[in-house]
Amino acid sequence: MTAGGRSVYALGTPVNLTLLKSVLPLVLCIHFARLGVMAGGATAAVALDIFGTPDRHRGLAAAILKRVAPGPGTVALLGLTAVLILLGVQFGYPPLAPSGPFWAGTLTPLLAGLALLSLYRRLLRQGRGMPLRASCGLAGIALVLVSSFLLCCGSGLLVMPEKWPLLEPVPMLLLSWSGTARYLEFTCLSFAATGAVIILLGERTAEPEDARFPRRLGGGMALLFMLAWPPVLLFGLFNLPAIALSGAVWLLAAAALVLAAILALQLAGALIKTEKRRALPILALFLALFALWVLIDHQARENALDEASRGGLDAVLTSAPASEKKPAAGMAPAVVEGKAVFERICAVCHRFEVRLVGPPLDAVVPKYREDPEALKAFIRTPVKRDPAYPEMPKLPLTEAEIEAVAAYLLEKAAP
Amino acid sequence: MRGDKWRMRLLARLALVGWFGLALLVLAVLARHREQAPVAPVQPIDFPHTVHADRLKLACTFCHTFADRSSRAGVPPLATCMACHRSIAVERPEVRKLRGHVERREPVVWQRVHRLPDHVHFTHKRHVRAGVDCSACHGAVAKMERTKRVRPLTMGWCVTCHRARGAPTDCATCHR
Ligand code: HEC
Ligand code: HEC
Ligand code: HEC
Ligand code: HEC
Ligand code: HEC
Repeated sequence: MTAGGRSVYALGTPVNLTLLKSVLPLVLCIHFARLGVMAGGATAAVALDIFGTPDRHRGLAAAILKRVAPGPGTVALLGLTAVLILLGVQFGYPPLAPSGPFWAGTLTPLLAGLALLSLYRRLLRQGRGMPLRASCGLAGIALVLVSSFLLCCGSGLLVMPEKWPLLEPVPMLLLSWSGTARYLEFTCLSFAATGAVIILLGERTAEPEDARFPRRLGGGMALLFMLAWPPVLLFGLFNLPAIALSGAVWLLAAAALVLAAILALQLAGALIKTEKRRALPILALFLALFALWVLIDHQARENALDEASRGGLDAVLTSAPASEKKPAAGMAPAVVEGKAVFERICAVCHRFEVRLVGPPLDAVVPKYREDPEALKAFIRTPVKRDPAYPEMPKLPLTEAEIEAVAAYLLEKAAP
Repeated sequence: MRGDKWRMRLLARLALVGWFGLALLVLAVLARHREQAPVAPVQPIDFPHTVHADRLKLACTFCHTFADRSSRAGVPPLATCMACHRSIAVERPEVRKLRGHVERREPVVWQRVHRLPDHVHFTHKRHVRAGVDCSACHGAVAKMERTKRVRPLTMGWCVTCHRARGAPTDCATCHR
């Protein structure tokens, strides 16, 4: 599994890595925040559309959709961020370069979902085609969520390098509790943030009477999902592999919980004290929370993927070549035996080409070519020769082993 | 009336703070629990695989002598170290510590980095003889300044490799 001698599990070049480290988290934050608010907003709108009364609630549903659901600009933005994320992984983590099916599996539902949601927006504004309209909205939401689920699971793989070589034989490995937790965290955060957008909509209406319902609906939705978020976050941390954890991860998670607590208090305030405007600071806090969430993820990934943990992935599906175990053809039996003795005992201190503890054998063995007996005598009872090296110890070798290893040295050393 | 409302609001806020405080508490407990088996425990002597396995190119089995013939790979006895450290790098503080142990005839208690539960049967011999490289399960040990566990050692990890390589996956293989 090596390409040109380089491990296929090597990470990208430093340029790619720097790019990835700065740009990928940012793109992830934009993508998930925008997509999340859209999915949440569409869900709220569909719920209002189905369960609400047309005259009281459809206006609000349309207003929510107008704000969150995709116009052509948003579709382009979200498609672009999704492509950028996949490309970031492709270049930054080449071993995990998304396969064709993964590209198709994330982008197709995303684009189809966005198309359905904009169709739903149009139908809702015109107030037409009710049962069809709602199923159109629901299908759009489901497709967008499927795409997010796949992206979350894929990003979960980045902290589990041990799975990489096995993905091809066992594609089910794509699914993990860690990835699922990530997806649930995303859903909670985005539905909560949508609540804040709905509050904002209420504050933007002229009539104070009209503002009350959106404020209650948005505040309630945001608070509910904010409260559901901590257990999901903890579940995700519980399932994170040990190599991904570090003090920084725990501290960032604690900071995120504190931020979430502040947010929840603000939301409670918005529900209780209805006269003050609070939507914008709340939305800003949500953006900060999304950023923190992406940072935790980023830190975990950095922890998990050092040189040591990526090592050996090439070896998971391959066995050591048999030739290493079988003696090379044409070697005399004594030389084979001598090689074994050398590797077990002498190689501790000697190499042929370089100085280690003792001198390079290529430099000292040739002078014994004329007199192999002298070589054996030296190995039997070493004497101090070169003051530049420590004294070689007398080794517990049998006469047969001395014979064999001397034969091996003379055969192997440079002429 | 007014007081009641005020009290209700205070209670609601307290409940919120309590919920997130509880989450923080669980986070702290979780952090402690997960750090209990650190991936890279501090060793009594700072033994660098980087120097010995990477720079000196010593074979893994030179020190872990039993890997191909026993269930345990084994951590080397101090005599193995002293073959070299009687004369090499004797002035380094960590090597001094090593020699101190040898002089006092006091074994070095290496902290285990990998440990399977007792109910699991694992053997190095079968894997090493089947040509599975050490690095497949231990990562690039030669690049580790301090020895680190980089594979999860979970049942799923063992079984997926077994499945992918056609090794046995019935329960009795690993549980007896
Ligand atoms: C010079 C001797 C030496 C060589 C060579 C050596 N090791 Fe080690 N190894 C040790 C010692 C001493 C320890 C115990 C201290 C520690 O864990 O860092 C150890 C620990 C380990 C452990 C962790 C054991 C545990 O507690 O779970 C693994 C795994 C390991 N070595 C693998 C390797 C591999 C793979 C190689 C070859 C690349 C290698 N070693 C080469 C001496 C050596
Ligand atoms: C093949 C000979 C050899 C063996 C066997 C060996 N070492 Fe070393 N060790 C070296 C050399 C050479 C260096 C110093 C390299 C240098 O100049 O930095 C060294 C360095 C060290 C250092 C100091 C590293 C530093 O930079 O401070 C420690 C600690 C150490 N060895 C511990 C051990 C232990 C413990 C064992 C037994 C498990 C052991 N060594 C076995 C050759 C050996
Ligand atoms: C199939 C996966 C696998 C391979 C291959 C493997 N190991 Fe291990 N190694 C393990 C597991 C699992 C443990 C934990 C064993 C336990 O707790 O009983 C372990 C533990 C160890 C330990 C510490 C405990 C002990 O057994 O003494 C050392 C040292 C070690 N391995 C070295 C090596 C070396 C050196 C090689 C290569 C020659 C190697 N391992 C190959 C999976 C592997
Ligand atoms: C890198 C792949 C790999 C991993 C990881 C791995 N194994 Fe294996 N294991 C093998 C292979 C290949 C064989 C078959 C060896 C043979 O053919 O003799 C095997 C054989 C075995 C056997 C002997 C089977 C028999 O026929 O009795 C046991 C026991 C075993 N493994 C336990 C484990 C345990 C426990 C773990 C997890 C801690 C583990 N293995 C992880 C590749 C792996
Ligand atoms: C290739 C080796 C392997 C095979 C095959 C295997 N297991 Fe395991 N099993 C393990 C290892 C390793 C662990 C320890 C996991 C850990 O500590 O996280 C484990 C843990 C378990 C546990 C959990 C114990 C606990 O304390 O949480 C159960 C239960 C279990 N195995 C049942 C089974 C059953 C049932 C089968 C057959 C379908 C099976 N195992 C096959 C390696 C194996």
